[in-house]
Amino acid sequence: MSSCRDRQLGAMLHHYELGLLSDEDRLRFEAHLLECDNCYERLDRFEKAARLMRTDDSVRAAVSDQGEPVQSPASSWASSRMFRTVATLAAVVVATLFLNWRLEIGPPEELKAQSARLAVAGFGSPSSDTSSPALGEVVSSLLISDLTQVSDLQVVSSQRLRDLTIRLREEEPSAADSGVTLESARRSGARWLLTGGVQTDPALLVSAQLIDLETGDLLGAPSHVSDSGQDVFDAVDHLSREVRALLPLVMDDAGADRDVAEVTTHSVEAFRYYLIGLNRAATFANPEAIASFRRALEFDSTFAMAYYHLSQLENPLCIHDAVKHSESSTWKEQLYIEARRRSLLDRDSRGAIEALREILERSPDEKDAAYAIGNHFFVAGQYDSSTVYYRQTLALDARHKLALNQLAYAYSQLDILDSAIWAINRYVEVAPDEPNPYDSRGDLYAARGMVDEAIASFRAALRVRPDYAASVEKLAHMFVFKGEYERADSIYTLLESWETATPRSEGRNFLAYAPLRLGQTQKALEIVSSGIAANASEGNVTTQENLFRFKAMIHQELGEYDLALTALDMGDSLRALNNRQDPIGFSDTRVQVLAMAGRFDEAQTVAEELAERLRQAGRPPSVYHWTQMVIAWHRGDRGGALDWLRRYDIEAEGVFGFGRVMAATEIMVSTGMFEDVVPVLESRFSHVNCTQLFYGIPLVRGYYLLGVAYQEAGWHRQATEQYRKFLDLWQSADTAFPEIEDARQRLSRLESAG
Amino acid sequence: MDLNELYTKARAGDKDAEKSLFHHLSVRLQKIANHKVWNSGDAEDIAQDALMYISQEYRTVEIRASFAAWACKVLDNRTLNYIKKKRVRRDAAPLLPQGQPVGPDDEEMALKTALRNCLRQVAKNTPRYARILNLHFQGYGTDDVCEKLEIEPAHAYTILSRARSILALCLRKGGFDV
Repeated sequence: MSSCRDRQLGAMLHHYELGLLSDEDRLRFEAHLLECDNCYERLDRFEKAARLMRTDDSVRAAVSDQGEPVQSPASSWASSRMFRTVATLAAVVVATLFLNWRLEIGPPEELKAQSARLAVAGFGSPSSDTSSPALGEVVSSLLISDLTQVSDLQVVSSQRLRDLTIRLREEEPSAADSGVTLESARRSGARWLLTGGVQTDPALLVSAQLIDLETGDLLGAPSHVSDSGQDVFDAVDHLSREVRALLPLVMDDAGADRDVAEVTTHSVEAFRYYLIGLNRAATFANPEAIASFRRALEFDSTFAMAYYHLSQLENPLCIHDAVKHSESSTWKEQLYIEARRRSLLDRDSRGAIEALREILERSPDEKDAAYAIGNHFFVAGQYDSSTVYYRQTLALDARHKLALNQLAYAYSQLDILDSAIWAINRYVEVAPDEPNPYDSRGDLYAARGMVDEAIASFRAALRVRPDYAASVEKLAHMFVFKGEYERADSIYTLLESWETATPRSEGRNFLAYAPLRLGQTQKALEIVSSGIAANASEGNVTTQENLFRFKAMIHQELGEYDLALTALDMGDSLRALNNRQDPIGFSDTRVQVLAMAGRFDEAQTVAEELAERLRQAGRPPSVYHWTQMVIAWHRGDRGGALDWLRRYDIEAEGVFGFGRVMAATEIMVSTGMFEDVVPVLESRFSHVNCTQLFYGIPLVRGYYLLGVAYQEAGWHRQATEQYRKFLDLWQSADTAFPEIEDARQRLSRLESAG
Repeated sequence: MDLNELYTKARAGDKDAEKSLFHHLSVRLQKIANHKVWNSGDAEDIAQDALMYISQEYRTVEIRASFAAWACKVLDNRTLNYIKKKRVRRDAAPLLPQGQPVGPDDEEMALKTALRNCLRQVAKNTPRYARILNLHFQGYGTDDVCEKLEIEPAHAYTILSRARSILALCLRKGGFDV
């Protein structure tokens, strides 16, 4: 054990343990404790004994046997403020429930040894080359790009080889590099391995060995010494031709005769920075990756793939430049660019998937393509299909964090909780020092209404990174659901002064959640108005539109329709400023407010505009059907409302459709559809999330509606529970919502009936 | 661990230093909080509250003396807030559900027995230790104790520190003839 950093302070340890230091000395000692491992360890070891000495009379009495008699320690701070130990929260280690369950992930069938599959290992560089990436890596990457152009030849990507190498090193940490390279190449399904080295003194010399992995034979050792005036691109072109000549393939491919500079870049420096950007993007160091790609473009402003990656990391509009220069890239890269163009510019998800599938057919180990397809399916709500591609990604790279994360969410959407938890726990294993896996796990638990488990996970994320805003806010939301409003508020208050703009803006909105949940609409309005003002004074517009929408909803609940519409107008103007692309926006709320205000023609106009936007975006018209239901209902056209209700796909509504679902259930209850509404509301209330808190009034009203539905369906015990929950929350509501009195009467009748 | 050094590096943008700093703090602050409130769940809450505040403020606040002292002050404030709120809630409702006893487990019983035995032995052989403790248990502060015993506070610390070492050794060995 190390020695104490400050003996004078260290001598106070026992006094500290027994709570005998003055406040000033205590703080001094605690500061010492933060830094002194010796005192910390000693404190830790003696902790239980010290506590007994402070609190247990029989232990204290042991000392008094020897000294002066001990009086009742009533004056001691420790005992008069002693907190009893409450029952500890059961730590639910969900993962242990699934220890015996394994998700089968294995390599796809396609990766058996291909007849024409080549792996290119990293080329050695001169020892004097201290640049990053080294020249050897530049050469091997250029060779891969060049040889990829040969249509009858599959070239294993460097990323794939790297992933296999990492896995091999985990299995056999002491294996020699050369053995690992060979084995990685074999496992990739390659038939041949190309490896080599680069020298620069006295001239550029690139030498290679082409090995047949099945027989172990050396097929050839091509090399190239550059003349003056020749550069690394010329060396790669020459080597590439020699390698193709050595391979026992029939190749008559015009594409393969293009110089490598024509399918990458003419600038070595641009290519170097491009490789640096790729490495940084792979480790999620996005700002640094963006800087590298931008630097590459300074050397070559026609570098298509640099634009492509920037379109993913920085600005989607960069895809235009990627498309413009895509001729100067490999077939694979052209397909990636095309897929992204279809997705971003044509909003053609299917077309994007087609392009990516073509990549996979020709190059089955392209995990980026597999992952991208998974995402397209996920966004389209086709979770089953998305899991197939996420699993394929994981078969290629078992440590792919994003795929694990997404797979967990996909399983959660499919209601397969054990698989979701498996995937997210695997993510935790892969990245234990990152907050995101714990945060995602918290989301999964919250999606199941497992609030305590969600809290534990969000806390775990914050232990890793205390300023991880996503988990900070979600932790607070969970406290609201638990009814621990003070705890929630203290965290929301912290968010209000966050360093970055978005959490600050959101924190100002969140502070209104608890009051709104408790029916304190005026307080909620004051808070959100003050939040809007604070954001405006800072010029913080990042999520300001949501505050206006929130304000609009409160006015709507209070029957203040003009004020609601004014707030929606402000919100919409900010949406335009922030270039929000979602076709629905605030239109649904606007239609509802207009209909409630009796302004049916205007409501219909807004609804028709929404329908057109949905059509253009290729989205189903369900939300438009909802608007028609709402308009018909407020017109008093009950039959028409029910017709539209039947066409409204309530089951397809995700988290963000919560407000619409609640409005529909009101109509369902009003029209006697009690047995239909029970599963809808039960399903919605089985999970908890921030969006529900946003719709504070409809959410709590929903408990009342469910109570009514239960009661009318004959489930009186469940009805009683819901009424009590509802009345408990709105016991100090500042508005005389009619549901409150009705719930009281209904509850009273149920309780009298016994 | 030199926290000032880590703090300076983290403030200058060194991400590794920042990570180390907060990892270290999260463990230590929770231990200190637990020492104050004797409830690991609440201690975690308090420590996390403090950490969130520290993570937001440390880059901008001017810390003249020591980072450790500032961090402890932050924790202390949060603990006081927590205790105030808990007192209000406790006044409103009992902390424990009625009729649900919480008693010591076997391990605690064994420790109590061992502790009593060792304390008797240590107190017998270092009577000034016993006297100081007894006076404290009766509610006397350090200044009063030192005045009664006519010793300096530093001396009182030393007496307890030495006795503690013997006590800890006794507990580890399961008792001995002192």
